[in-house]
Amino acid sequence: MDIEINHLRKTYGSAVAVADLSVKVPQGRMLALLGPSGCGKTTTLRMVAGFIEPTSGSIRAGGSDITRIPAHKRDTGLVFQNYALFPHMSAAENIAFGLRRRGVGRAERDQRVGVMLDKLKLSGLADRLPRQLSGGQQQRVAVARALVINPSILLLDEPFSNLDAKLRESTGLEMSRLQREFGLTSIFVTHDQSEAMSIADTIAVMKDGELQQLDSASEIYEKPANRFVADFIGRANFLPGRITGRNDTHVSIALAAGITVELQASGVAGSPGDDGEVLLRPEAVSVTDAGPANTLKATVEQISYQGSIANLHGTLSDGSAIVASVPPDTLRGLAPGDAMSLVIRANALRWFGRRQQV
Amino acid sequence: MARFAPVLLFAPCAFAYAVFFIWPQASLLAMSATEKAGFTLAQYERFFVDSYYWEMLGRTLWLGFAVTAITLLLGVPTAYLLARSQSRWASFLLLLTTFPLLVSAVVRSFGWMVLFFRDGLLSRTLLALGIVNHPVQTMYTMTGVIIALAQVLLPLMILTLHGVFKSIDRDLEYAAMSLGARPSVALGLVTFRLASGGIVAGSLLVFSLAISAFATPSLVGGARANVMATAIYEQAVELLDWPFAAALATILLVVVLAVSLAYGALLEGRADKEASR
Amino acid sequence: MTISLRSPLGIAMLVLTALAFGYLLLPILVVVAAPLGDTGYLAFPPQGLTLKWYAAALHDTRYLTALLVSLRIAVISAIIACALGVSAAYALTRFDFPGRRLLEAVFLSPLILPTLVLAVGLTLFFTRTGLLAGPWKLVAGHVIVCTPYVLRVSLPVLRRFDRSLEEAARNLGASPVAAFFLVVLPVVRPGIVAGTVLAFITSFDEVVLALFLAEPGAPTLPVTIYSAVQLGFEPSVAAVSGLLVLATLGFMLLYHLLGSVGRSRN
Repeated sequence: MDIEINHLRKTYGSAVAVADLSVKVPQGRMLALLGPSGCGKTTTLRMVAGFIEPTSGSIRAGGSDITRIPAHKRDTGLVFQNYALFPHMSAAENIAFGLRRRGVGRAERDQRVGVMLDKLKLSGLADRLPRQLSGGQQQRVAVARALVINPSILLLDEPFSNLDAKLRESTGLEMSRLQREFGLTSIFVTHDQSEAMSIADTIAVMKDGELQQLDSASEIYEKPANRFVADFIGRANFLPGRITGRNDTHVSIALAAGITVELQASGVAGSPGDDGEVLLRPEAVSVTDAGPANTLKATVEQISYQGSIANLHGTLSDGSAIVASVPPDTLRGLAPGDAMSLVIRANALRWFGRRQQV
Repeated sequence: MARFAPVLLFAPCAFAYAVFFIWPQASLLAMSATEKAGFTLAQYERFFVDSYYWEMLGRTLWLGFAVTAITLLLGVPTAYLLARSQSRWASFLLLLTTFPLLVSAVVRSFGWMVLFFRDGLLSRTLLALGIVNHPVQTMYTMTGVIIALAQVLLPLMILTLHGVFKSIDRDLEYAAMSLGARPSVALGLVTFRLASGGIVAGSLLVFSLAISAFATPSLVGGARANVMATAIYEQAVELLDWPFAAALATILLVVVLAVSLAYGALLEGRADKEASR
Repeated sequence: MTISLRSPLGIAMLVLTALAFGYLLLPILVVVAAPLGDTGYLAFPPQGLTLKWYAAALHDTRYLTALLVSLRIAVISAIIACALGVSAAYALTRFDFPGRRLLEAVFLSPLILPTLVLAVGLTLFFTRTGLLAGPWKLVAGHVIVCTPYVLRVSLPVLRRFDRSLEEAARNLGASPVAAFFLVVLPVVRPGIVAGTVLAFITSFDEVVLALFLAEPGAPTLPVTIYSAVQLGFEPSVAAVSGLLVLATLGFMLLYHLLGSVGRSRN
């Protein structure tokens, strides 16, 4: 069942929670609503679940309008951020709750609950109360409870945020496996970009109730629509600069740090004389021998190691900060205070003009 | 439908309050200020020109202050020790403080009466200790009422303050001590300072309950230690002077409301001060 | 303990605490022990030892009748107060509507209203309107003083209640009413039970409203004790009071025992 959200809007008095959101999620796909807290992602999810009535706009599921259908008559399974397991019911009773509400007979209920317990590696824990389960087990009960009713839509509200880092990754992969196995159309709310990028087909980046960009993970990372998206997704260096020339294919930008870079003309809106910033991902920077033209001269401030990469923090000649993520063996014995030369991959650059900065 | 759900839910309660609370109280107020000819303040005039009633009002307020003072003196250390103790006895002792609350004030006052008579335990103990040299009668005195009523209200003070002290992080005291404060200073500067709002709240609660209590003053104090509550009862039930009883009730109500408002204003004033810091 | 109990301040606090407990329990001890005395009048400490006053109290039909009246009124008042209080508390915590805070303040206000003032007002009201008869006048009065206790206990419990549990139930197909009874009520039940028990005790112990509003021929137990104490000091009144204290103690212990059993089972 596909989901179609059209011009969805929710306001509280003069405060706008969701401005004008239109998104489609095709059958069997997973959409991540990604953004900082207060961006309207959770409000959107709750409108799809039926807990909040939209101010205007519509939500359609499988072609039929569900905007005014009460929550308990919608065909959605929801996994809550805090799991919302009923504390007075055992794991099995929690999972059976939705089946009971649907009038499923005892034999079939027991059988379906058993299948879910197996599938989520909960066998043996059926009679435990939620508080006798670990965080990861509680999360799996919540998922089982949402899936057992065979919903056509699965909604996930930051379902991994209460898990520790190791569990988070394996659970995320397990989640997307189940989602594909059940062929569920899914909306997933998160503030964690790496979570969104690893399991969602499409990501909607939101800010202040407005959709910033709707694209695949790689597109959003490599071609962020604006400075907010560039900054929110991954790590970013923003180097101030000015457009100095433009022809049919290329644009020349003089960076304040002293070098000039060339960008594809198609990706740059702006004309000579415009001020702005160039986005430079830390992975697109590497350390080089001093000498070659068009290298950035910088002073090493600090080096921090993160396993297979080292983050090199430096100051450019114009005083702005830069971070480079490089393999540790390319550091050549650099130490804080040393001068270094940095080379950048020109095709990894994006231009954001001043006026564009939202 | 969803819009009317809350109304449907609170409507039964609101109806009961309207009929059995607001309407009776409004007509009581009306009765205290009307006679056949219409509006009158005659009943209030009767109260305010007579020094007998002024003295009674003074006695009532004195009762409130004295009871509050005793419950504070005993309640603050008890609540503090119970809140800070890690012994398993602490929860048992806290339960023990709630026990008297469950026993009717009539029964508890009765217990005091047995002790208060001229040949009761109190008098004999004072004689034996040489504090007095002839038997004393505590029954039918304000002293007796104060002692008995403070016992009736002490559990409320302890429970209120226990909650307040529990909510103050004990590490704050250790922090103050690690910065060089003696334990007693740490207690005074940190814990009691933070608890002052709760201490004021408990005091005002006890004060307003003390000035409106009826059973204990009526049993222990009798006619000789007359306070507002017993006077209202006397006017209404024995003298059948309902308009005057209504006026007395209204005056008592105004005093109690003034205490509550002072409490509210005090809390808000504190909040403002905190905010402006 | 931050304060050393051996320091002067600690010793002072310990002494005051000991005094407080002695002070709290003394009159209750008197009521239980005095009727054990073999004298024809009440004395504490009791002289001699006999159970005859307790036996007499158990056989005195006045007190037995009054006990039944009190129990009946307390049960009815507590049930009504529970129904009114819980539904109002749910409306006040679950929905946001204009005037919500004012309504909450009004619903809680009988807590600060002197009961005597309420009693005088209600007596006048019933005399003038002729509304209600028999025990219902007193029940109406007790409902007004008991409902705030139910509210005061259940409001914070409902406020702390995790709304997402209710939403989870709705998401799984429960209607709003089903969600309330299947999820909200079972989770907040301990708070509601505590509030209702408090309402029951308040009604059972209450004497002022009962003095004004009880049926003339059927006084409640506190009123009967109050009148008997005023008339004289017969040991049988003390024995009745003593029995009441012991019953209360038993009730309290039972409640906590059941409470801790319930907690360990869950």
